[in-house]
Amino acid sequence: MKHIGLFAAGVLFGTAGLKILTSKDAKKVYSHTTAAVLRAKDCVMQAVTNVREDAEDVYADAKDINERRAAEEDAAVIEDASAGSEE
Amino acid sequence: MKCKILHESAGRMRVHLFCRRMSLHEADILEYYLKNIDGVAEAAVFDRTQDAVITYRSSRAALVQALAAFSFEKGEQMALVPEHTSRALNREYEDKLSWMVIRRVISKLFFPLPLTTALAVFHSVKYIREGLSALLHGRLSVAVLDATAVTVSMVRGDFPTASSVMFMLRLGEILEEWTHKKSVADLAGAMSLNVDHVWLKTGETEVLVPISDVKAGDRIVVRTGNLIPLDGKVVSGEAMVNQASMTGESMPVPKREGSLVYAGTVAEEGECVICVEKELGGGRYDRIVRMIEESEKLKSTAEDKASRLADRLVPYTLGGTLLTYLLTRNVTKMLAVLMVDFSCALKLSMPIAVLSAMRESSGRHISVKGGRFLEAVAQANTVVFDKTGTLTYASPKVAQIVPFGGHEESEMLRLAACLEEHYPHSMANAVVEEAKKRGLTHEEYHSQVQYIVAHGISSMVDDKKVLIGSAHFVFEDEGCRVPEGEQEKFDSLPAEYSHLYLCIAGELSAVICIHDPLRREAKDAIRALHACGIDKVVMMTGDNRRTAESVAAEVGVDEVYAEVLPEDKAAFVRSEKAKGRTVIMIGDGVNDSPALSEADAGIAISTGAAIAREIADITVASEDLFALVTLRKLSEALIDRIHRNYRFIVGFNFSLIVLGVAGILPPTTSALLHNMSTLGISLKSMTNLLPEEDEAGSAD
Repeated sequence: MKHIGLFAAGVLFGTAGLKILTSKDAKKVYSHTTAAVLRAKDCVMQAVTNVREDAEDVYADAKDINERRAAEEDAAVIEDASAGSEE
Repeated sequence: MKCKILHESAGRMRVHLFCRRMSLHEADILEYYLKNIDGVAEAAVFDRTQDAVITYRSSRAALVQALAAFSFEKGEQMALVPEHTSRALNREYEDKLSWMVIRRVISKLFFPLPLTTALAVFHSVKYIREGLSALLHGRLSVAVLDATAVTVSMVRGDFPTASSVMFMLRLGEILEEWTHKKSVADLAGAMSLNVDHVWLKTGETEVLVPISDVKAGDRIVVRTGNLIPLDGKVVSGEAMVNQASMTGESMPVPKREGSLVYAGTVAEEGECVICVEKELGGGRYDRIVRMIEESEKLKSTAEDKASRLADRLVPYTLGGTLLTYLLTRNVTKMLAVLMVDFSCALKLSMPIAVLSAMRESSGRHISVKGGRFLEAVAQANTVVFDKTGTLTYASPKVAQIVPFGGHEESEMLRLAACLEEHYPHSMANAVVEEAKKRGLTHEEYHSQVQYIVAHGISSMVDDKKVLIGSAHFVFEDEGCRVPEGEQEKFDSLPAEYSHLYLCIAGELSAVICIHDPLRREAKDAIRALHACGIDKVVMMTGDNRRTAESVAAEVGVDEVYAEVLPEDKAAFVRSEKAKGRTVIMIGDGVNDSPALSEADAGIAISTGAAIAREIADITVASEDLFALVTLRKLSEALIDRIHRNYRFIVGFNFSLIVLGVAGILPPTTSALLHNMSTLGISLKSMTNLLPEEDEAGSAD
């Protein structure tokens, strides 16, 4: 019985099934799905680009902070030297 | 354009543009517009998010104003964008990579086991086939390594590892392709930016127009020494065209009515009108790309060594793998060894280093035609300079005129100009200019001008034989003599000028002293060359001995050869090479061509003849002799980088192998580290070799 069932399923697939899968309506479904996938990819790439830009911002800010600290330290050094020479 | 500032820090601003969607071309327009603004150091435009990141040095207000004033139409009109940018190429490869990653993620997460197994088997077919074909041809190449790794995993039934391995391999392939294409594109972009003006024939007149304005069907005029700028067909006239840059043939080819001519070739002699067939566009750029990719013969020996070494290491890797398996009976460790192959790292990073050096020198206005020549410059220990036009500015002027035998100065000048105007030499031009300046007209009152190349002119005026030329020509060849009692005057002629001797009827009538000023930086440049390790700097000139020696003394060269003919220059270069020395020849004129092709690296100053530029291996565009020193430093830095890359690749990968065998690193991690290090070293090889001093307007 099982074999007949499988055989029948195969016949069904080969005739009606294939027809449905390749019909115009099915093709429309495929197009829409593919379009959605492409949009998803664009979305992902946009997110990636955003992350990358944010990372660059963070890096630039970090460099700024370090520069400011170094500048402050330099300023501090000058003050100390002048205070010392007055003695 | 309305923008919003997303982030700001010292000297850096990130803005979002309120435009709907940005196409790649629009992103390019914006990028070049931003880079054109005064004070902007860098600008990056991300079209996906419509953001621009600008690094600037000067006023923020000016930048803000420029951004506000921007519109795509206006930017388009400014026509700043070069013909090809790498944006489209980068997008193509980014997409390829992202699809690969997405597919892998989906397959790992969603696909059932039988499906992934089937896919793994399906993909492996390609690698196994390549490996087998390499084996059948008797070559143990990298393909064999890959195939072995894949097969071993599948045979063990470990399909996930097999598919990871293949994923890594595909990733590596895409990255390799991308970096290679990007380097070639950058280089071709830099090389094709030598845009010129051309003479467009409109009716009976000729108009000088920018090359981008010429369309198919227009007629352009090309004369002696000009570069043919566009592909086309000759409609009138005749010319001898040197096609060395296209076909490599050194003999010029005659082109007549109906012949096809190609962009980039040089009209050595003659004049013709060409009907343009292909406008400035794909033609030249694509040709340059092809030339770069096919220039196998221009690959430096270091690159060749690298690729041969890469293939030679394959048996060792395989052997090591086998050994590991035999010693440890552990397939995982064996795979760890297998996954680390030196070859792809070597094969990728070496060409990239060379291409990047060529691109960098292009940015400094030095155009190099192949890696081999950079190597030659780095190894050179002899430099031969031509004098006129190379060490001097090649715009000589008449300094003074010393008449002899009672003749009058201006009459002598008039006579000289009358003869010299037929002679296409810079010294002759000086004479003609001076006559014009003094308002001396000279109708053609001579007959039969004969000139003897590199020596002088002879003619008949009023039935008297008139000669003008070098001392050798006038005194030795033609036997003229100094008038009575004027020997002292003759001997006290200033030596630092070049002399043109004018003789009438066998007697010296005047000496025209021509001043060919040395380039200001010549002396310092030569000193710098000595400091770089060039131990012999030679000057060779067709000029007379006294002038040559005084110039030599001033400029500091080691050896001087005067009154030299073109063949002698080539012969000298050959003899130096026979002594085992590496020779650089620097010249600008047609008479330097034999020596330029003979030298290990022939350098042409671009203000010289077009033919010298076509034959030379390296062209220096700047007006500054220090460019030679820069070139030398660049070449040495390149050789340095190649050696360092080599040591790093071998060292790092070897340690990966050791760690893999020791069991510390699983195979996928070592494969990942290997790929990342390869990528990293390739990216590093693309960076500039020399620190950025003042590069005038380097294109990116």
